[in-house]
Amino acid sequence: MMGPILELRDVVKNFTGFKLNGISFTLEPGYIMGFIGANGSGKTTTIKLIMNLLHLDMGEIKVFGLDSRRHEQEVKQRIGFVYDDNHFYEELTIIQMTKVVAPFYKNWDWDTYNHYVHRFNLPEAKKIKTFSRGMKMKYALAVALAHKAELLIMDEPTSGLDPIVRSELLDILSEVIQDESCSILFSSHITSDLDRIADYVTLIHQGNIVFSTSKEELFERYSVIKGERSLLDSNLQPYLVGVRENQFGFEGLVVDRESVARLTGGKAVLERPTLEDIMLYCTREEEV
Amino acid sequence: MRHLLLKDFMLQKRILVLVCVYVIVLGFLFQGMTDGQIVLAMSIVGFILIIFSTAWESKSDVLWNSVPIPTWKIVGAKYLSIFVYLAGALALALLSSAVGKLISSSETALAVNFPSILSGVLIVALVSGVYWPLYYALGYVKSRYTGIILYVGCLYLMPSLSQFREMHFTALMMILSVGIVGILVAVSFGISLYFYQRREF
Repeated sequence: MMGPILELRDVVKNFTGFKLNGISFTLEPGYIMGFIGANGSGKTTTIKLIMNLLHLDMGEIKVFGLDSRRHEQEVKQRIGFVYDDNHFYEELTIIQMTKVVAPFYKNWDWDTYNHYVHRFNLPEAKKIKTFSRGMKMKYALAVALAHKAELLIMDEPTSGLDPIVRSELLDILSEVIQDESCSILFSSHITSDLDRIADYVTLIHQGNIVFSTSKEELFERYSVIKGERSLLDSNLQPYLVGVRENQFGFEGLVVDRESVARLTGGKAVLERPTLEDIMLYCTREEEV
Repeated sequence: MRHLLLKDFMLQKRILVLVCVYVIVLGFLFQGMTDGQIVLAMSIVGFILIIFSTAWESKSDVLWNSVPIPTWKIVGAKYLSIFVYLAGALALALLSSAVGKLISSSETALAVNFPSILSGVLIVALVSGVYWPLYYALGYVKSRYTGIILYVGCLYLMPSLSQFREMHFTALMMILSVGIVGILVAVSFGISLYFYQRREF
């Protein structure tokens, strides 16, 4: 049986004023994991640690079952990356850039590359600096897919993109994942994107993993509750993950929908949450 | 590694064209130039190429460290590229100098000789040997000014070096100089690699 494609165990990274605090999670083959959290929560740090762009202080990162440090070259052969910022040379055209990058990948496939370049309508003769943000992201994706990556690591790929390009990207990722030979770690604070495509969700907050579980399990575990303030008594407190009061009543996130429904006797409205609801309330726990 | 050299070549195309023009013009003028001026001209070419080869790299470290390419190749390509360009520039200079001599039917012997070429290469090797570790330790922005100071220092020392070379440039001295500079460049490469592998992006 194939093990996890990505495995982080007790990963620690210290910076002045920020610490990635012994985080652990795994990603199984053939799935999309949404990696969510507020800005500065540790998403990019985690991704940089996976890519060996930062040095680990403690812990272990395994990709394809291999230590990502000791087997760095082998691991990177099988990883595709799309970062939130363009790191290709702005002064080069994409064909020039690709001719430089492609030879480093053993499984590079020019047909796949050309397929995506044409599909994305990327002008091959124009310099990358003339590209829009969406085009740069699409080019990065074409490069990532052209070498048959088994793991796509995407750091905020949709931030700053218009809804049409975002939707197009999500469609492509859904297609890519169809053959189940590829897994995707997709970091974003735009949770609606992950509502649509993620199979698993990992929430990071202030350098700690709040949860890492399947999206369906999250939606079963949590419910949004709305009701009058009088319902906010000590009986409800054990079920509340987070709450926000307003002049008309309160809105919050609860666990164990059945027990809460019994407790409130139908006086509260219980709804299926969005990932944004879950992220917001789970990271505002201290306000309960 | 040749693809990294190709990348540098594509990025520096405009600069290389300017350098070629500079070299061709100098080639025509070589007949009247002293050894010291030739060495100076070569080191200027080398220095321009060193500085410009890093100008596009401020954001690319993340790219190259995400691609399956060993760090030593990233660093090594930078060291190698300068000498590849220098060899090209030198070939062009010799060619244009020979053409200039033919056109002008000058009786003056070609001033470009082996010791002056070697001196130019050694100076460029020395400057790059000191500059690259700074670049890999500090990054482009911080090392740029240090590089300029370094080069100005070299220009200041050039007359003394030239004088020394004229007085002591025997075959043994040449071999010794090549050996010492070769060791310095090798040590410099090791230091650059050490710094680069410890950098975070």
